[in-house]
Amino acid sequence: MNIIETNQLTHRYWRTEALRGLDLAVPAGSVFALLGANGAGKTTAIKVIMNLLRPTSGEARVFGVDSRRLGEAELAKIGYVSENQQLPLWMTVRQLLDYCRPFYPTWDRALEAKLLAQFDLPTERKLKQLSRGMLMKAALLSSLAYRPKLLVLDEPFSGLDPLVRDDFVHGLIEASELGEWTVFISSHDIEEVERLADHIGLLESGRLKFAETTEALLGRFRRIDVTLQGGPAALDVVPAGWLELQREGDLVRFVDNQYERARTEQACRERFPEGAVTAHAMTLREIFITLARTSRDSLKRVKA
Amino acid sequence: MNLIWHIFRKDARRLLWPVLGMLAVTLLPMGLALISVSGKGSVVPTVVSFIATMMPPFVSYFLVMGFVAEDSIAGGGAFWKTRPIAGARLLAAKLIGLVLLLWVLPIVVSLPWWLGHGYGLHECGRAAAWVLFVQALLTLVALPIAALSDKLSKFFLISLYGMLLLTGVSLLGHWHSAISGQASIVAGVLASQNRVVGLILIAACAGVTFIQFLTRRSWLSWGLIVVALLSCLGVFRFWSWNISRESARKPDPAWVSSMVIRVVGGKWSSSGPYPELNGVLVDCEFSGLPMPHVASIRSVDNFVIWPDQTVSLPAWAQGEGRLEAMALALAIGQKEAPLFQSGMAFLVSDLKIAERLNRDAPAYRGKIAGQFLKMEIVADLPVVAGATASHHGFGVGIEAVNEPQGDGVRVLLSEYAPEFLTKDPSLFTPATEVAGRVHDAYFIINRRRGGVLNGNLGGREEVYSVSTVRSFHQHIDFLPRNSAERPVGDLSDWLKDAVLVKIVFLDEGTYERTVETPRLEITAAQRSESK
Repeated sequence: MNIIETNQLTHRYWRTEALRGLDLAVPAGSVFALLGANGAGKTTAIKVIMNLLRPTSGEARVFGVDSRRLGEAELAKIGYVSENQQLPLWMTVRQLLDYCRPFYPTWDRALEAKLLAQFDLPTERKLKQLSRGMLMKAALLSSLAYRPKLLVLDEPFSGLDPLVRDDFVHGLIEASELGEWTVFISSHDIEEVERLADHIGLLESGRLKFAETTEALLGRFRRIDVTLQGGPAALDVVPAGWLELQREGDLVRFVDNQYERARTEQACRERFPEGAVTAHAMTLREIFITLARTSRDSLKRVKA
Repeated sequence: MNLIWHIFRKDARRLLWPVLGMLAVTLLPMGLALISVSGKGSVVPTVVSFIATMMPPFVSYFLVMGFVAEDSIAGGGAFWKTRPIAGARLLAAKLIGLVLLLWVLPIVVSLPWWLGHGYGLHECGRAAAWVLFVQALLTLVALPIAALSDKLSKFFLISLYGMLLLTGVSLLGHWHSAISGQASIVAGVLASQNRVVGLILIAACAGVTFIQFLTRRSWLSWGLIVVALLSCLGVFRFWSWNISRESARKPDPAWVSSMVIRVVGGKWSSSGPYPELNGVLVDCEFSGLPMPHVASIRSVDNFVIWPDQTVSLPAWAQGEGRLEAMALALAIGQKEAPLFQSGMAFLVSDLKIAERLNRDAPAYRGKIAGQFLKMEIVADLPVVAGATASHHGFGVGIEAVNEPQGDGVRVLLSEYAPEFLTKDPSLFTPATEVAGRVHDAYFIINRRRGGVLNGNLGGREEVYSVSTVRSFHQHIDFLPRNSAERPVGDLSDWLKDAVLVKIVFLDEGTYERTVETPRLEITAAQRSESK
């Protein structure tokens, strides 16, 4: 069952098309990370999903409900933390929790106390006096204490220093052990996402490049080094999945985005009969950078 | 409902200081008014008083934005939008907050002010209704604009542009009517147009508010605004029906003159039944003496001044209200003369006159309370055939029998007679066989001392209009005419032995008349110039 589904979701800001026919499915219980460069459309997608923006065309469904019709019942099951959210900064942490509590029938005071202790938040301090990291933690706490079925995080790590970011992620991971939920997170902070996400989607210029499990993604991307050892090299025609192909003397390097050991080695043998093939696992960050570069280069070629 | 109150409590906590500020701004003009009439001179500059009086509506207007901005409707980052708070619930909470803090609270803090100015239950109700009306109107206008604005600057700009647009639409509509030969549009149609435009704008404001809170579709709201403005333009251009009610009849001076009909326990008070008449419905209670050196008119919805002076009436009556004002003054003046004849009708004590003189009765029940003396002496000066007199030069000799100083007083009638009394033919119709005009005069004379009371109007005047209370304060130095302008020490005491004298005479002829009272003898004499 999918908690979030979008179907040909499009959103325009006047002439700018921020989302272009986005088809997305976030399975229940998953931690789904929506990655993309700045301006890729991540925040727009989340805003449409949360009914903060209306789709120009297509639709988004959350818990099976059209996002435009999200009501109190659905929102009571959703936790939302965003760097763009305007928190009532005049409140203290305690006042924020006191204010939020009555709106959620499932609010768990024990969990609230536990998270308060875990996040080490000063309850009597006003939100405007908190550091950015503390503020995000307060927002997260106010979005976790009612055990939401869906947690939506929009750029939660933005502007956080590494220590706070680590704290935040730890908090999130620990909190995730407290209940069963689906997490939908948008970020361009790939290392942190890699620690959290079991599903990855990549958004590029408003279009979804792919969406799959982290395991599958990491499994199908490999950096391949081919040492030619003096033999011939046929680089004129290469498979479409070979990205960033380059040759430096006897070394040919590329990224295979459809890696299967036997198939890749076979393809290498056909082009480099005497070459020695080595496959290196890639981090999510490396994959993201490779895809971003490839996309940029192809855009340049189109423009040229 | 609990959640609505929960949101309201949050807003109230957040806006506590701004609301207290608004209350302070509400009380400020009252304080300034009290200072200005405290008898210590005009220590408050007029401009300060004016600004203080104008501030409360402005503050209220921007407070509406404060309420809405707490949970902003426009923009995408508002906290509440991702929480289980429905737009309808939020709107209800905001409305409760606005009603309680912006509508009810100003009434509560104004109550002592009203009561202090002698407002009764009915008057307090009317004043509260007025405050509610003003605050509701402000809210009605500010709420949709606030719902379209995500920040204060935008709220300010939309308000500004809105005013300019409405002015532009109005001008455009009337300009178009003018160039298309409809310049002579009748007043009733114009009033109808304004009424319809008002209704359209009210509906548009309410519509935008509901759209914004319930659907948050700003484009729909802007569309509605455009449609409303075009409709207004259309009304100004094409509307030609008169749906306003015809003006009420003017009040009948004869009825007005019957207001004060009896004396109860030293007080003159009116009693019913009031005629079923469109116009003034005035409850008269005359009682009490003025303070010796301060004559104040409290609880004044308006004050009437002799027509040769400034006449201040409700704006709608300015054009044709002089007659009513005069009639009212005349009526009372005929039966019981006002304390002074120096140009001011009701100088003393409480005065309240109906604001809606020409509206349907019983639209308003006013109150006139003042210091009036009942005439004890009316000296009719007979005409001597063949004699004539000029308008000026009438002398009335008043000789005090027991006046220690014994000088007597000579006054000129023209000096004291309110001019309109000598000109209004409805009150003084000369006998057909007698040529000439009627003069009369009033004097307040102390039996024991023989002094004639005079008010020195060179004193200080203070006028203020605060929270429905329009008040005219005049500080007058009372001087006995015949005592080298020594101030009357205790006016109340002085008036105990006072008698009101009215002298009526024609300005033609030669006559002499002596009026006797147990302790005072008045001789009125005229030696007219022969034609």
